[in-house]
Amino acid sequence: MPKAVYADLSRCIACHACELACERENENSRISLQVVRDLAAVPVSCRQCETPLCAVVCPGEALNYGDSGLEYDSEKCTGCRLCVLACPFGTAELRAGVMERCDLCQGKETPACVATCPAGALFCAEAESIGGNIRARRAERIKKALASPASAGRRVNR
Amino acid sequence: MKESTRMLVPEEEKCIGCRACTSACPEKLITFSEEGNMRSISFPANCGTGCELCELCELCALACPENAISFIFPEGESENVEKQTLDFELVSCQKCGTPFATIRELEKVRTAISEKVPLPPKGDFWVELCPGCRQEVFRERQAEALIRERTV
Repeated sequence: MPKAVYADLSRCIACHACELACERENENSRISLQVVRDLAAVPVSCRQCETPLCAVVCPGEALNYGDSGLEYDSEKCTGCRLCVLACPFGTAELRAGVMERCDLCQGKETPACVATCPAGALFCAEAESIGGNIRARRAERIKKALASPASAGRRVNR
Repeated sequence: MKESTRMLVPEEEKCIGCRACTSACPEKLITFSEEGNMRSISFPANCGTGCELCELCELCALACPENAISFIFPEGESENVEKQTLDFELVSCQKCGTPFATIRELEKVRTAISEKVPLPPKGDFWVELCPGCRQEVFRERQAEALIRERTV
């Protein structure tokens, strides 16, 4: 499975920092966060499908699925919107006549949204590793919480 | 004798009403409008702005995913100089009711993806939802477990 941005929803605090980070990096935000029934915040971006249906319908060869995953060439996009209609998650969007989707901030080690998330809710991983990933991250947090606290600046312990 | 002007001919049987041509035309000569559950695309009879570039440009034809646009040089008197308008019925989103795509667009998408993934039964299929509602449904499904946890 290709890598994608995933969210540990129990950690998301709905601060929208991911959207701002994406906007800084890509001009428009390709990740969108909304709060569902006042109870859970859910960020959604391109799922980087294993069988990308957007590429299946693309007539102009702008979207191609190759060995290195889904490739997108905006120069070849004709703006026919068929990818928008084929995306099961509604994350392909047309902006200024061409399609826009998350490319995991190509060229960067970590996508901007993941690097920015102050709650540590977002991570970029392959689907198979997610269960283990969440467990490992949780264990890490517990370990940190149990460890003796680091000295906190000038605060005097009573 | 006046040279014959190149005419733009959209093929009604092929056109799916996707509007790629409307955004491809540098002179914005192809226009579209939506009213209720109908979308109309208007094509000029020719691109006659008089400039040479317009006589060579084929960007709309190149953008068309269905190769529905061709250019002809009519012999003698061109009888049809009226612009041509094609009308398309729109499909409404099963969730919010907003018309979001033409019947033909969705048919094309459905056929293309049916070759890759098995199609779920009608009535419970994301193709029948507008992109916004697809995202909403996905969001709700993702949050389901957490919401249950937080409600109790």
